[in-house]
Amino acid sequence: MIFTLAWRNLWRNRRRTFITTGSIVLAVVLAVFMRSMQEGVYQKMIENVVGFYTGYAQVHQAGYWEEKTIDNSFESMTALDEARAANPRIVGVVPRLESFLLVYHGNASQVAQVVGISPEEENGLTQLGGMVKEGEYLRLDDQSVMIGSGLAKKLNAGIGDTLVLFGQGYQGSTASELLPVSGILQFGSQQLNDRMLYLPLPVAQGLFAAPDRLTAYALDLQAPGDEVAVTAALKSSLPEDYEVMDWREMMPELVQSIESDRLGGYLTMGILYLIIGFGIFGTALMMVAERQYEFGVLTAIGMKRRLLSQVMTAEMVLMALLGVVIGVAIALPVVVYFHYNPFEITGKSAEGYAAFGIEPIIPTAISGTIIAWQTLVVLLMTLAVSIYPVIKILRIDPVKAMRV
Amino acid sequence: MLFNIAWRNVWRHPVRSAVVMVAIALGIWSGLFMMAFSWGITESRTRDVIDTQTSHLQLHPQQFEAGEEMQHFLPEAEALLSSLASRPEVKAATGRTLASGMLESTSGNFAVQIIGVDPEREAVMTQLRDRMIGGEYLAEDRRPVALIGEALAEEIGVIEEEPDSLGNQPLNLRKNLVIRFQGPDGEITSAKFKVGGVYKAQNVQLEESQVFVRQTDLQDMIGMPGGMQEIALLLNDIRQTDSTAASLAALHSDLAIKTWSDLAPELEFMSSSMDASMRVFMGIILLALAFGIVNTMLMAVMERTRELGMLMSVGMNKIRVFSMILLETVILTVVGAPIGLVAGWACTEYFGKQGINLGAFEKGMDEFGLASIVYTDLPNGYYGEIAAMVIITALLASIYPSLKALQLRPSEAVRAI
Amino acid sequence: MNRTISLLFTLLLALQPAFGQSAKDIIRKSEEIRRGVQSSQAEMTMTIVRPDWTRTMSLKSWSKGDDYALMLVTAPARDAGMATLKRSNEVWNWVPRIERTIKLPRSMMSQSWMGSDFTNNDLVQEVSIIDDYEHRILKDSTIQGRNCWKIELIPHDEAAVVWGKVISFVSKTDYLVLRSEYFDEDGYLINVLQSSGIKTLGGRTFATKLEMIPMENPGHKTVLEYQNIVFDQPFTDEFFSVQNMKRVR
Repeated sequence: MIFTLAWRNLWRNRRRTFITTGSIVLAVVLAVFMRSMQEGVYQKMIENVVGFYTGYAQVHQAGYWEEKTIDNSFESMTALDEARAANPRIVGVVPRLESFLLVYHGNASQVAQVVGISPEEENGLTQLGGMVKEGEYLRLDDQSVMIGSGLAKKLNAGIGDTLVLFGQGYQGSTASELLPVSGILQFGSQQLNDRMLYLPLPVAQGLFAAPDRLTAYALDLQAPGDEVAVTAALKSSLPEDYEVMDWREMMPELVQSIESDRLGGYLTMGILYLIIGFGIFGTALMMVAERQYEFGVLTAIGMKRRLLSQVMTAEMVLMALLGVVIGVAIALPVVVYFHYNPFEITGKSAEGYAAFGIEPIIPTAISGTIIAWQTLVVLLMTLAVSIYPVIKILRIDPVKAMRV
Repeated sequence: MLFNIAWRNVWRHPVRSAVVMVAIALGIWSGLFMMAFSWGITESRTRDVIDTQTSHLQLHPQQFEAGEEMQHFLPEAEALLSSLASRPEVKAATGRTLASGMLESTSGNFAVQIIGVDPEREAVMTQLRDRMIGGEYLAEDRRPVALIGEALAEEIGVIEEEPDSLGNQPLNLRKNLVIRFQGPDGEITSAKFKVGGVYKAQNVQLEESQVFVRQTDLQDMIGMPGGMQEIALLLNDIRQTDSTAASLAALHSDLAIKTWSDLAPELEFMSSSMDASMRVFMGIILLALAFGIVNTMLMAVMERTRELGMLMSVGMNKIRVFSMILLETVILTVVGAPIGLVAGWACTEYFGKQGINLGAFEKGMDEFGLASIVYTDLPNGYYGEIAAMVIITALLASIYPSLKALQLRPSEAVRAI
Repeated sequence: MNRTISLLFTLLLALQPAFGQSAKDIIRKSEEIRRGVQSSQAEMTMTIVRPDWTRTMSLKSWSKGDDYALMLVTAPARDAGMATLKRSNEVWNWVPRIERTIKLPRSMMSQSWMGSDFTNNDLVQEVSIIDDYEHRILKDSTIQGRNCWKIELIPHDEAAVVWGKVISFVSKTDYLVLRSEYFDEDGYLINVLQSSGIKTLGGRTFATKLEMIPMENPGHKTVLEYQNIVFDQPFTDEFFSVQNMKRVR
């Protein structure tokens, strides 16, 4: 009965309904968009830091992360290939054998982080091939190395120059090899530029006297967020000799820096809520002012204030629901669009981003949780705002109201 | 005449007018506050970096390279230092002696940079004395003393793992350190240092890699009394940085002169990325504001259909109706904007003194060298800029409702309730 | 009479170790005996023991005085032919697999030597056990059935030593250091270097087995065992050259 009345009221003055609903729609769209963008920036940050190196999850010999030595390596296994076949969330299993060696060229020597990779799989996860500045990307059967541009500069080595690699291999053996440089890599991060050296996995296993051994499997996952389910699944299926870690465990500093930045983000959201909340409130205020006369007449002819306020509340609820539905319907394609066509940062700022190895874009995150939460917030806000018209009606003096 | 009508219209509907004015004030306030917040973060970060790490300017020998400190020394460093210190724009100057080598302890070996400093001058330059968390600041001792960072101190066991009953973590200052590096003659030099104290730096990397010793001790070790590779300058005003760098460069072609932004490029990156996100934020705020104003003014036009119709039928032409509504918005804006400006300024001032505590995640902030309390701050120029943006948005937003008013036909309008 | 006095004098001298000799003298004598070796040529095995693996290498070694040493790996086959040369405070490696000589950068001197518990610094000992420490006899002690002096060595303030103190056990009969314990400033035992398998060969008494035990890593140690050793062969300084390092068999 109340809702029928409310529904009819809404359609009686469509223009007013559209304006009020419009303010709710806008609130949903802006809140969802803003949150999606904030989270999008974090996702990109994680992607840049995690995706370019560690991957979202890794499997190692238990204890490797604590003490990263080649002696804590493990024999390559098929269990993960089986896991990939069974779990569609695991897109790729990327093997690595990693340690530190001295690298010599001429009179120069540097300590390098030496990573044996399976080039094709590695490229699938980290797009390493895209970092090649000079020369060519490795192939699995190559007998050569790729080095970071900073390392190349420090060693004064270019394409075709032969490097001497020397140091410690597996279980006290000596690692030594002469290998030519076939590629020079340009990373965003100077740290990576200065110390990375990649070589094909079979060559690395020979060099370190660690045949068929690996220090890590990095996992390429279907979507960010999958790491939680995947690590849980792998933890229960793999024997205890292995550790399965997601990026949150591997990089607690990144998690913390995002958490602290989020606080600033909440402040921003708070301000946005204030503004859109006020927008809705303003519309409600106007609506009440406009309908003073109508309310006056209705109370004068004997309609109970209580019933009237219930009708009013029902109108607001209906408009809120309508606004939220339309809002989500608009916000969703907008968020999706800006996820795939992110804002690009141009000019001097873009150079700054590039220098720190971060793509100069601001994408949005597509997340059901964000949409649900923001929708709920706007809904609650609208309901809170509708307290005003209700109070106004309960206190109405029909004589005064009709005089407008 | 038109102004008078508009003025009276505004105050005839106090509620509606208040809504628009508050919306405008809110827009300006939020823009200012967010700007002041992000500006405060960047500013305080910049200040911290300059005050504790880079100073305003640093001078090195032209071919100086970190890691190869022994190759090039500053020519006549002492004389250079005193001549720089006597320049009018220089507030403080200090020289440093540097070496790269290994720090050996019973808990392992670490690659570090050894920085020989003049204790008194360094205390002014990088607040090193104030950043001590334990021990004594480079005290004269029969044995050479070294200050190590908190992170390194944890690794080599200078900071005890178990806190005492009061929750303090006592320092174990008995630890011996052997510092070993290649001297200017190519020979390995080594000497034992006592851990004199522990300092805190902006990030873990610095705490792990920088070891401070008395300059004279390090000069004795390398057999070069007065030998330095670095001079840091603090200027009276940060704005003199570039001009001073240029005039010094003209004077000393044999020196490499670096400004704080050369030395800490991440500051530039930080402020530009802050800038980018602020621009997006302002865009969203302005959009929200515009919609609020369009809605309210549209309502205002609809509500006044009869009144406007009346005015038109008594001969007010369309341009005047349009101008009148626009003028009403102008009046609302002119009243709302100062409220927003004052509120924004008051908030900035208040939180500029009290600070906004983001301390819950201090560790993460530390990692990125951010202080956990943000003090808002905003240069005056922004007040005008943000107010202008909001006012222009308000005016643009009122065009649509004004146009809507023009479409009213007097005869119909008068008939409407 | 003269003879009697002279005999008494000799007796007194012989008895001196029992009372008059200071801790510093004992260490000095022990060092003199060690340094008395003009040169040595030895074959040995080095075993690296870890909780879940052990690795044994066969080595040939040559040394002359304190300044020169050369070590050649003879087994396992993968590393055979690799040589390490120490010339005063430089360390060079010859890697036949890649036919390169490699000079160890200074920064790597404190790294492990060939994956063992010895560091390159242990090869290039710069610190004088006599001049850089304060010595004190603590008490008599018995190690491996031998009577020893237990001597405490406290490094001088300016000595480039990380240890808080070293306790050495020196056998009274032949002045061999049978065991050295390295403590940090807080008295925690960090490393133990232990000698055993005392043999007399070619007129010299020496330990044929050396064990380095890092106490903070349970299950870790490195054992050096001499198969045979020849003393005081004439070697020229050129024998310990980078050129010869490549040729030596």
